[in-house]
Amino acid sequence: MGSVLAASSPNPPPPATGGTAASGLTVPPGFGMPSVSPVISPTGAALGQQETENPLPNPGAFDECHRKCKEVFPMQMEGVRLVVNKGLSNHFQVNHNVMLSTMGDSTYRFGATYVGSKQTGPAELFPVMVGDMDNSGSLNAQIIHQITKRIRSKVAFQTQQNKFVNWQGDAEFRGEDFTATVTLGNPDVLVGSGIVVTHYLQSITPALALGGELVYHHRPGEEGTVMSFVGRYTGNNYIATLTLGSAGAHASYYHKANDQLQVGVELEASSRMQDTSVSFGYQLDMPKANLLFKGSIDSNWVVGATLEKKLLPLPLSLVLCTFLNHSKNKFQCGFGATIG
Amino acid sequence: MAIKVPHRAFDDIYLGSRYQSSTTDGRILEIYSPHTKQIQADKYQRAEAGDMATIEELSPVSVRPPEDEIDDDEDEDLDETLTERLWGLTEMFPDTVRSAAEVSAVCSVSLAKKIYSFSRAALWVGTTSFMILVLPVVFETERLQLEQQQLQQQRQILLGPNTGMSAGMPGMMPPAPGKI
Repeated sequence: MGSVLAASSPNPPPPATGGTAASGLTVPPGFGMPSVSPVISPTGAALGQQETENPLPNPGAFDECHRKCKEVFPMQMEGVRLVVNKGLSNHFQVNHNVMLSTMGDSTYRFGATYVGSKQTGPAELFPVMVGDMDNSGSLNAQIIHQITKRIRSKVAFQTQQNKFVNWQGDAEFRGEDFTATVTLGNPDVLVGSGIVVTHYLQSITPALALGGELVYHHRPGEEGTVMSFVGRYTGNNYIATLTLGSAGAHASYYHKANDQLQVGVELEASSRMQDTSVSFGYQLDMPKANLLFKGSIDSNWVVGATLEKKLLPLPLSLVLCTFLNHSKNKFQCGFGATIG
Repeated sequence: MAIKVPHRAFDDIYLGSRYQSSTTDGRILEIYSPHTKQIQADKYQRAEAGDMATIEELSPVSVRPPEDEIDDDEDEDLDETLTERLWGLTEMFPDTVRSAAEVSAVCSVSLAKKIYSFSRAALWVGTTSFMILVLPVVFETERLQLEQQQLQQQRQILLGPNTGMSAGMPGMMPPAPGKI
């Protein structure tokens, strides 16, 4: 059971990537689903992932760099959420998700995770198959597999009731000091439409990694390209990332102040919507009190916080979330409990 | 019988303008303005009461000079309140002083209103943001401190006053009553 739990995170945040907003997939950390249609979603920077590790290390997946800063920010939720995780064996885990919502529909989701037996690292086992089904019949599924030592591939699809909304496959090649990824999104041979996304990330120095992203989309009668560049600098306790593209700019700074406090600052400027926003977030981790507190304050006058507390004798953890928008005077609060 | 009135007497007394007309029998009939009706009335009374030939000097009618009459009428018509009279006093200042005073008064009133509404909004935003961002952490840290203090106290009671201050579950001590 330990390996199943290690490979998949028990409290997965709903993926914040652009195209899969409705999925709520339980994605193992590190396997972020790249946004399939960045042309539709305003920022192509959702795909900016990078990791740097060792001297001229492999910089990691393209999405990871902004991920570290984004993880500091609290996640907005509303209504009541109950999650029950149950591990059935070393390889198999099942979860039930009941979400009661004040503005929207209440749903029940059933998810299953299967982890294979090919071990490539201390906590990574392949293949990983994650599936999720909604009470209305919408299905999200992902299969991740390590094909060779350097190539990892992922196939994912998402349906809305009985209609396929997203289907994509990608392959990632990890070289000595670079990572290249090719993603094919919603390819439709009959209609002749599809999206191809290529990422390339190269370590220049042990601290600096540069990369680029190219998105090519084709529809009958229309095709276009979006390009963006990513730079990431890692210091001893901070990571600074910058993404510049035709869709706007996205800069993030992550700082680890001490064992308990991590701070992130994020600046997003979108050329499509002609607006910029600055957010400041912090995460306070107190293992002695079994508490994880995340707070954020935004330039759109939005203040929010999430409190996660483990009630220890039971395998129970409680999540309280509040978000207050001062300019529109709207308040949203949510409550969740996770068992197992 | 024609009444002969010496012309002079009227000249002395009556200062306002008057119209003269003569009747066919030579009687001087003077058409007076309303002021002088009183004079005429008095004159005729005396003429009836006393000698017809002589006219004594007309007793002075309370004739007021026109300025006094005008003033009295104005005093009766004007109905100023106290504030209007005080405001009228300000007319003695020169125009620049008056306009500067007005501008500064208006500006300070609007500034006071803005400060008031800004401080209301700032107080609300500050209080709610503090409640959301800081208060839960404060509660939890205080609770943690209290728990640790109690643990330490119990450990001291159980093991004696020289027990070192170390965090962590002691194995010998019965577990603290569940406070989750």
